[in-house]
Amino acid sequence: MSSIVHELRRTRRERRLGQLEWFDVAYRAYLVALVGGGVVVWLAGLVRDVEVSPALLQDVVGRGPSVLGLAAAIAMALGLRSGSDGGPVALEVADVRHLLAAPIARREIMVLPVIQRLRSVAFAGAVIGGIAGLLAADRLPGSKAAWIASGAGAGACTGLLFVAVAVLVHTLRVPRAVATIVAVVVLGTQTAAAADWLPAGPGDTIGSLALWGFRQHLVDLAGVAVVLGAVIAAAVLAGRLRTEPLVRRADLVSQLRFAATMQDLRTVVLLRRQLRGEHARATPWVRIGRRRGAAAPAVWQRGLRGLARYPASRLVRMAGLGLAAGAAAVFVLRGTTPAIVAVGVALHLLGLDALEPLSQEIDHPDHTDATPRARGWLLVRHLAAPGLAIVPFALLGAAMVTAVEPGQAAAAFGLAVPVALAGAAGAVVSVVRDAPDPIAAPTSTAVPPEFAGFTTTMRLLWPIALSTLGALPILAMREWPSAGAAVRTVVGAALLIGVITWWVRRRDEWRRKVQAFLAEGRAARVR
Amino acid sequence: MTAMIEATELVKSYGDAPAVGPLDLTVTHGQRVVLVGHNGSGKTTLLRMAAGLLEPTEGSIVVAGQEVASVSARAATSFLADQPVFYDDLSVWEHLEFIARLHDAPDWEPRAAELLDALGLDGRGDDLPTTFSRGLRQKAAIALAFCRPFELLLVDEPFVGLDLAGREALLALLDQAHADGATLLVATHELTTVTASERVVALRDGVVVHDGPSGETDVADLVTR
Repeated sequence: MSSIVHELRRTRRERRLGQLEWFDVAYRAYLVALVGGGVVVWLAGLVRDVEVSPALLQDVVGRGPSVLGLAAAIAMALGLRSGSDGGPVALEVADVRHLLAAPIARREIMVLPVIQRLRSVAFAGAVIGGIAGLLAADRLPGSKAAWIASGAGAGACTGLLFVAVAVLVHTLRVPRAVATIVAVVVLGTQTAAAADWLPAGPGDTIGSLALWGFRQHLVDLAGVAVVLGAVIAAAVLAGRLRTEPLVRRADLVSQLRFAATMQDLRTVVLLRRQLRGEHARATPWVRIGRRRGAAAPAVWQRGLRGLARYPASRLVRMAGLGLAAGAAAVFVLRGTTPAIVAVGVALHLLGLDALEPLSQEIDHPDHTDATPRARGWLLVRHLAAPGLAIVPFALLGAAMVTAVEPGQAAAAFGLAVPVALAGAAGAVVSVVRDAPDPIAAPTSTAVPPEFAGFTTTMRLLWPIALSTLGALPILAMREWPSAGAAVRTVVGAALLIGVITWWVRRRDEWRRKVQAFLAEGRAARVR
Repeated sequence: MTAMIEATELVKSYGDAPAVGPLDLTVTHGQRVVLVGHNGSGKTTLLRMAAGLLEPTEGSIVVAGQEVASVSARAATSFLADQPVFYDDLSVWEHLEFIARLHDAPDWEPRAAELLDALGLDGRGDDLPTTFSRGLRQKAAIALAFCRPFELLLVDEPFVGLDLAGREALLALLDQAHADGATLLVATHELTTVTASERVVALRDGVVVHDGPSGETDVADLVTR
């Protein structure tokens, strides 16, 4: 019977390959290689600016395995969560309906998707690890090839660990609460090891593997053996993946892929929340009482009510992003300039999570249009509650910086809130820009095909670049550590926030004027 | 008579929201049962649990004497869902071949041709069903449900989008399947189909509020109450 499934998959693969536009594929590969290669070379160039000192080298050798092991611990924790939520495998909807309903042993159907998932995540991990190895080679002793190979190996193991743990948790039906507790224990232990409070953590051997470019410890192979054991167990147990989560995920993942293809970030965020089963709380954490008064407080109140229903998982994720931004800031302060991008990305994601009330307004344009207010007036008032919500997570990031670099405490707490808000400004641009545009001219989206790829890339990267711009005060504090510089950077961050807020308020007006101007120009040419 | 479907203390809930149950239901071999109820009464959830696509929160459901979703239960059960689903890159005929072969259907080709003819899809076998209108997609889904052997047919709102000819063809196929000894469980709002069935089960808020012979039942009253 399995031969029929193989035959179907082969036929469909051949058909897909036959329908591929090879020139288009080659052009995309060329673009990825060009842009990706350029970014890697640029990052490598940035890393070279600060040489590693013997003391720092000693620190890397001593604490490196535990710090790098955090990536493996995070992968394990994510795997635990994903598996308990029904991940990590998603079938095609038609496969769920027809193949899973057929009298064939489930293992014959499921083993291939599990292997494909292992393969793709391991490859992504290897690429990220390899790039990290390349960057490390610029500051640490050892050959480039050895660093790239060890980074790629550790990255692949981390990816495999995520998928294998997720499959095992799913097939063994580990309850979500238990998986969360284990994930917290794993992360807590590894964090304690990274902070030198414990001698070792569960991810140390994988972290140590990443340092094989400099020195090799055979004991690290034990970690690799555990990962491979988990992979084999996952492949053996693939047939026990539950049908109901596969049904639920199949539909959501097909929508998710479509949304990702369309670069519809908001839909991607919403679908990912559905995949994780993340819903607004039926009972709010805090009840925001009724108040009478003007329209502006009503919008703020609506925002606070939305925030009061955030599920615990989202709050934990936001805390994690605050801590991650803090950790990346420490790397920046210690001389790894490219980590500023990680700060920007973490703050961007934190902003996307915090901006839910604004996003809800954007998702329901009919409501917005039905109010007797300008869209900009309404949207700009939706920024208040999320701005407030970011504050505790920003302070968490500052606490992280202070824990690792106690000498930077004053700067960390002084800059945390303006930097976090300026970082979230990129997320504001991303959310507002993707809103349905009531005043767009029908031809305004027509872009020549030669520029489509470039425009798409810029569209995706521009808000993240803005978030990174918001994080620049950290870099400034490293280069010019003084109170005067701190004040100047806070003013800069405030300016960025002000400009974005003004843009949200006046965007429609400006666009209307530009369109009227262009229309007048066209009319004059016709005359 | 042996049971084809046996649900015992069956419960399905989503978080705190109950969808079905607690519910006890036995459908014996060869019965033709119609499942009626308001939107949200739990008909689709019950059918999807019988098809093995949803797991019960509590209780159990046994199909053809086997654990639901086991290989034997899947071999015995054909599910015609409310939303037709197809592969993007297979034609109607390729779908029929694939499904029939997966289920070891003997002489599937004449049967498939006969089904396409009966449903007015002759000449459309080489077309991609994903390009079809809602009605044609429903007809293709009906062909897929009937092209393979089954003992139990689970049908969810089968008349949606069908034209008159399609409805008559489907009713004829259901009659034929019943005459051949299959057990039918059909969830529908289409009250005219109730007369052809021998038993009516009405659900409200996930529980059985009526279970009796169709002739003695005022179905309109059940679904409008």
